[in-house]
Amino acid sequence: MRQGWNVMRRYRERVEARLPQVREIAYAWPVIRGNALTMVGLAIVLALVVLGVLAPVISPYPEHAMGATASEDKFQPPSLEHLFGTDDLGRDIFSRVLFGIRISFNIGVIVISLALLIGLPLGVIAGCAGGKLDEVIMRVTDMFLSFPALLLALAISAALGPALVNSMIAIAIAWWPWYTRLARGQAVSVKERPFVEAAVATGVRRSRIIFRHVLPNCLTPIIVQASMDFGSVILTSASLSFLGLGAQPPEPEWGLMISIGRIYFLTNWWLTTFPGFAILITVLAFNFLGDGLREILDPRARRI
Amino acid sequence: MGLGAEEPLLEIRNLKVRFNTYFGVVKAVDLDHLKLLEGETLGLVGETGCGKTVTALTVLKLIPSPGGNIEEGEILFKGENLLSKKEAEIRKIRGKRISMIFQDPMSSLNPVFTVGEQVSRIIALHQDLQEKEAKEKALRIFELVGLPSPGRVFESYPHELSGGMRQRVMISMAISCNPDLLIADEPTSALDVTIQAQILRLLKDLRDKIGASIMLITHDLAVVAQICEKVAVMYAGNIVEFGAVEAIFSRPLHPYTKMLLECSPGPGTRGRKLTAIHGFVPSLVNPPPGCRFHPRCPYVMDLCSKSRPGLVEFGDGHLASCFLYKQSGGA
Amino acid sequence: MQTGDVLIVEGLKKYFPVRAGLLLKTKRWVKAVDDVDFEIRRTETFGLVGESGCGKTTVARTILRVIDPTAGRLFFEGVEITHLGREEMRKLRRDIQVVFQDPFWSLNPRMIVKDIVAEPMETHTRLTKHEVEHRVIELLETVGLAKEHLRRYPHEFSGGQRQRIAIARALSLNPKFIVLDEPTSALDVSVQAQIINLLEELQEKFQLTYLYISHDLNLIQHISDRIAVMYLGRIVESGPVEGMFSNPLHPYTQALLEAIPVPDPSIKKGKVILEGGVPSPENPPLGCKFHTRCHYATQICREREPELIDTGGGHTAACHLIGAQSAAA
Repeated sequence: MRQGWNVMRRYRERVEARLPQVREIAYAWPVIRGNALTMVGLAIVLALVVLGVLAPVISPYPEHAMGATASEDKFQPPSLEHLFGTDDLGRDIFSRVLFGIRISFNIGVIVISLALLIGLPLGVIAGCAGGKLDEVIMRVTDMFLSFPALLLALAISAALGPALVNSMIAIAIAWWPWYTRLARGQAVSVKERPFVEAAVATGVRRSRIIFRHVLPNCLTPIIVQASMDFGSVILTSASLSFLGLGAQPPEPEWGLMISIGRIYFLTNWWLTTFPGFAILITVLAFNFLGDGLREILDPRARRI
Repeated sequence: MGLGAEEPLLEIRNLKVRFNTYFGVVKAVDLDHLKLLEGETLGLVGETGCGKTVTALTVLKLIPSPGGNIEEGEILFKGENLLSKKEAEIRKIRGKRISMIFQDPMSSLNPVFTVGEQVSRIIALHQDLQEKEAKEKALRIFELVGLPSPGRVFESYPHELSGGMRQRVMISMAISCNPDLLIADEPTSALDVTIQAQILRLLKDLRDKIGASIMLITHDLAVVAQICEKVAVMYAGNIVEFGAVEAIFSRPLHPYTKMLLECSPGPGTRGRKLTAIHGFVPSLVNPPPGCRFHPRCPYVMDLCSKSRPGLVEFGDGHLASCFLYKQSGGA
Repeated sequence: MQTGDVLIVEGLKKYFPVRAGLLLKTKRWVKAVDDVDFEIRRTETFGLVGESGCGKTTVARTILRVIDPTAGRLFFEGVEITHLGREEMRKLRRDIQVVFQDPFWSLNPRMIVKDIVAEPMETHTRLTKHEVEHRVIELLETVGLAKEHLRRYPHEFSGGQRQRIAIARALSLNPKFIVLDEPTSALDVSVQAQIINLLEELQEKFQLTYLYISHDLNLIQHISDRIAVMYLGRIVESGPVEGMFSNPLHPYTQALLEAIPVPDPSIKKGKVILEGGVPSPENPPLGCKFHTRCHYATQICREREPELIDTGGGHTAACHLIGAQSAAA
């Protein structure tokens, strides 16, 4: 047993020595470990991921998440057989909540990736270019930012028509300006740093300077923001679904489930409560994680 | 000039300070003995990582914790051990009986308050004065430290003042309550040379005018030569040499002190290679066994890696920790 | 213009606009560099000295064409580079390199050492990956580092080692001319000694020409052949280093030398101390820019800006009282 650990440790040391990225994670781990809230956040997120991945296997009634109904069992309160009870069509809420994890995480990943894909390069280019290009990009960004994200997503979603895909596009469109503004702010200060000047003085091409030198150094606050946004995006999409604009029945999306259960809330509280709880825990977990990320990513730079 | 029978103002004995980090426990300070007499200006000299700032922070118990930890030792201030005092007692001493000036005045002054507000608040707090009286006192101190138009400076925000003026404001804050001991941590490193000259003159003046005892922390040997009477040289957490400033500069005993003096460029070094100390400052997680300087020492002997030489006196208050010299009688 | 000159700076001016008001109109100009001339000869070390705000770093940045001069001309190896286009300038950049002061931010924290040192080569040459890596290892060894350091990030090194990496990067294209902007100010004295020795060795070995910028007169005295002292955007005195230090003519140079502490307790400096601070470059004094702090200021100093006067042997100074001083001497 001890031999096994030793072999693993030596292997890990060799890997660490060769791969700088692994070393970075190894240094970060104790910081993560030291911060209780971050650990909680990380644990919850990991647990959710595992549960989501295994949803088809572990949910007692997977078919209820995919369209089947069982009307004879409707409005069953939480019990051993139906941990979270059943809804108005007799479907097992626990299974639907589990499958809902998949939908929510999908939404989070896709929306944030889209928003970053648009917003990040725009912001960095604006920050580096300065002058007219900067003005144009930022004024357009400001236009988008003048609307509350939810309202904007609502409007676009309504225009595109009620569907989950449309709501994802709508939220991404409402979200990218925040990253542009963050990125531009960072870019403006990063481009003054001596290593960028050194690159300019060496004759490095502008595109390489922007994407190799400036952009990677703008990422820290953006990564923090994006990880906290994960929760907000899920919340926003749940809101859209609640209003009928996002996921459509019979998809087991949490917002939609809350919407359906709203009418029956006073008598059958479990239809809304459990999906609501799921949203709460997910958003909290990502917030904790984001906070912890901020701690890891910043002071590390000042290590020596 | 020997270490007389007068009781020292500040005496540090057997101080061990440790920091817990990912890489292990950093043995930041392992200080045998340090004395500062009343009215004296002591220079604590050393390069980055030698432990001089940590030592100063320990005097005021400003070591961050968790992480930092004073393992053992005594810091006797006028006979009382500061390390055994509670936080509430130490707070009464900070700023009032022992005060500190930091290196970068811009980050030590609060940017959202005028400097006048900041200084008078301290005065009012420690001396229990009304706002108006505190302001008058502050203005008088501003004059004392040579600030032009004290009234205007009083109403200014830190960013409106130059570096030299900000440092004078810091010094005002530090002396406002007539402390017995002033600790200055690299007070001139962030300043231009001509401004540095002004501030050094000010510190000398303060010593003459209000009898301040000063512990000056710096990496710059030249600054020490200008205003200090005694010098303690630190390396890797230890004091390697201590003595009167003339003795240290004209007859340095420890190899590190010698080499430090020789590697400064100047008019005499033109045309030749500077003496460089080869190697790097050791990690303090696993400091070298025995004398911490031995891996870089040109005079290293077998004994040096086996045990650490203690601070031994070589007459006239000149102490060094090195096996090169036999006791009582110089090299 | 001698044929041995690597760099010639003529009438260099760099003004930065101060925009204020609702419409952000340009109200004032910060005259960071105000009419500077000097030449740097082949394989010499030219020291540029001054305190903060004197414009020395701005001079460096204009020479490197990182910023564009407001007026004046720059010649590198006989070619005028003042308004050279991006592409032509890029070809010349192989020969002009830079080492900055801040050992922390002068290297991209997100790039490993190998990529940092390889970047100039990747920009300018068509060497294969293998050849580039080989050369990077060679460069690292030249500056006293090792192959193991290839895949590390800058923050894993000490300040002195980071400067060595920066020097390795500067050497990678076999440049002729290196601008060194306070490369050792942030380092400990013992580390500084190592770096200075290294720089001098490299200069000897590769026949390099240096523009060395610093505020440390002791250091400048050690390594420079000729120096220029700047104050508020102008050169107030320049010449061969021995003459400047044994016989400083300009009151500012004298004050600087007087202000620098020396590691000798028997020599107490501070007999003549400059009062006040450097005036803001936005609002420089009229006449001689130094007159507000000068002990010898007379009426003419308040009215007219002095020209640089050659007092023999290449030693020039800009002061109305030079004539009087040398007459009194």
